[in-house]
Amino acid sequence: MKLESQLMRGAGPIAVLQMLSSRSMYGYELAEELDKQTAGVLHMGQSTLYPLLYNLEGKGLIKAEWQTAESGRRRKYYKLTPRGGEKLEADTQQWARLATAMASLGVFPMGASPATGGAG
Amino acid sequence: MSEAPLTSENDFGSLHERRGVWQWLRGQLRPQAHADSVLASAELPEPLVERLREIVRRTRLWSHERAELMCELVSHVQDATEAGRNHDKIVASLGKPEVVSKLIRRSAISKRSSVWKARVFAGRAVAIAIAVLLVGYGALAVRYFTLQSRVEVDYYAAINARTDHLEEHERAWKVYEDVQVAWRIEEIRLDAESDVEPENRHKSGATDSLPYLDATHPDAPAVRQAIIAFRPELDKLTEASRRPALGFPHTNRIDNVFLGDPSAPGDKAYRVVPLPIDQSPGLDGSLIYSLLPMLGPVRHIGRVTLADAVLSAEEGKSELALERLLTAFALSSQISSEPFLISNLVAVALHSLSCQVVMHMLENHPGLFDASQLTALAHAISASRRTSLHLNMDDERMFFDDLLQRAYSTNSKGGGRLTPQGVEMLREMDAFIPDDRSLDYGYNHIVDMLLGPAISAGTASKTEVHDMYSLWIENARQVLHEGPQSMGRLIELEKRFDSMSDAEQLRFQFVFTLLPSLTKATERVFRSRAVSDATVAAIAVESFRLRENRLPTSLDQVVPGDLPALPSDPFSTDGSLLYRQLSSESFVLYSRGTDGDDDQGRDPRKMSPVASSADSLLSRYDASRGELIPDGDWILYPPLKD
Repeated sequence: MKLESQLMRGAGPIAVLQMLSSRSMYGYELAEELDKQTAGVLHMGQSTLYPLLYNLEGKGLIKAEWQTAESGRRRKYYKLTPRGGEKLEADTQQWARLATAMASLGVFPMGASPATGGAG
Repeated sequence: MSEAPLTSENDFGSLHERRGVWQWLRGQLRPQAHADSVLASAELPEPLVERLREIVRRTRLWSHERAELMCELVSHVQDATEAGRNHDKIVASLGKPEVVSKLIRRSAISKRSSVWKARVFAGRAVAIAIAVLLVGYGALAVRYFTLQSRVEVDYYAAINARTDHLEEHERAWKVYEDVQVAWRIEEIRLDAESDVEPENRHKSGATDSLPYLDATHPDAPAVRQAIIAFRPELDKLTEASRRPALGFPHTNRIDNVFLGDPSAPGDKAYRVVPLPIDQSPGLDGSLIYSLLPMLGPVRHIGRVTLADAVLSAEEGKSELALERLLTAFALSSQISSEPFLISNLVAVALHSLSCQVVMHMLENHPGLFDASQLTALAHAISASRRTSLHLNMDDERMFFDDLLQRAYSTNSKGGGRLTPQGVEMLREMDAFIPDDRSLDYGYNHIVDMLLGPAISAGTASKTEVHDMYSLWIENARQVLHEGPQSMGRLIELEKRFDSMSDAEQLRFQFVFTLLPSLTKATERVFRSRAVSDATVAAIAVESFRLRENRLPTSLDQVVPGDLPALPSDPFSTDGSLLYRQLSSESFVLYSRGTDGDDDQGRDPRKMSPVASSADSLLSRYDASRGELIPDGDWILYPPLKD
């Protein structure tokens, strides 16, 4: 199941920052990992992924650098900047409060992760 | 995977920074070329190639940004292909080019430098400001091009109505023209017969220095003979000078008909033929183009008349000398009744010159005139003073009002703004926009159209310019009525104008382009009145001398028997002109001059380095010019030889 675009617009950036918090990734790799780890809920096509990455880069939250693989293919790797780390931390807290608030309303059971589709 | 990093700057950005002008130009002309070469080297299937090219092309990013984007998308597609993804699915995941390219462009631009963003912001701000200005100016232009001037009053008809009723025998101009043409022919003959170099002939020569012939000049004997021979012609002036008016119809178009062989070299005499008035609504049809071709010739024959008066005095022919003098004063009065300030000033000049000639005769030919002749002369001078020594403000206002109706619109309240016709007129008068006559009409017209709305909106309204003009005219009228002691009022007005900001002066450019120098004109009238009064006083002294066989010791002795009242001193608030007997046969009549005190008739021109302002009423009645005031008096009699 895919998220509606409005929800994706809110969730996409924090998801990408979270993915990059552990290691640098290139675009395709990031899209695949997001798809895999969220069971397709946060699947991003190139039309969504790259504008999102460029926006984060423009805000100084991530940084890109080109690297060349042994195969000779050049890939652009993105990594979290210190500012991006702070932003991730702040957003995570907000999302946690939101999830708690939604749970208290019974939107999904307490303790269930919204990402795993606990509500449904 | 190699760990050697290739930063984006190294790979694309700094390449962009380092490239030369040619590469920069190439990037501007073919921004997609670099990206296409990246795409070509990837060897992807055609549907993917097309889609990627379309997306990148539509982003309209800079050349190096497109190349970097293409590189990243190609890498993504290659990874997906290697992962076994179907090409159709990959194409679908790329999204619609028109949508995704916009999203990419927007986000990619957010990565650009702050300097670039500031530049774009500034550029947009400027563009918006220009757009707002253009829209505002457009609105002004719409309003401006709907403004129209209307000629409602025919001022030529109003002026000509004064003399339209006169019969031919009541008009003097034809006589004057005949005499002037005849004298011009004489002058041409004198020139042809003169041995003097042309450049010296008239400057120091006989005819231009009339009415006092320079006896030392080689041409003097011939000129003297010519004037004496010309007396029958000059006799015709006496009767004509008593006619009601010159009677030359006022028009803005004349033709000069030259006499003799038109192909012959040298100067020619000519007659002036009035043509029907150009009734066009613009500048050409206005009173500003009113021609006064009779002023110069009348002034010229006036000087010849005075020259003959001097010659007659030298010959002891008092009757003839008197007749010539009376004719000159009558001419002066006649000219003064012509419209506009310029006619007044010509009359003032002729009256003053005639007075100078009278005083010259009294000094050099005492006893020439008998008592009755002196009385006749004094009466003629006084009569001419009343009619000649004034400024006709109403005619001058007419001149302004005619231009006002042609240059301004009229609204229901009597106000209005400068119209396109008015802007064109101002350009033709070299106000605001220099009228570049070397360029064709189209150029000037375009300049009018572009600047016209701003000029119309930025300049004073019809009511304001009318009020400003009236302020000057009415003050000058009042000063002329009250006397020289009120000159300070005009001086104050001048100072107010000088202290106006450039913008304010531009607002009233219409007025100040057309306003004559009223201060100087007024001063000239006052000075001429003093000269005239001194002449009458000198005549009174001569009458006294004839009767008593001695000079009076004081001017009080000639009042009221020979002089109705003591003449007032323009440089004094309450005093009269001063008289001082120098010897049993000589006396001096003088004004206190600029410093306002009696220096016993001492001429500052011989004493002071600031002699040029010695007899300036402006200096007298303008406290701020105090440092220029010379010590000395303004000598009126005997007339000084410059």
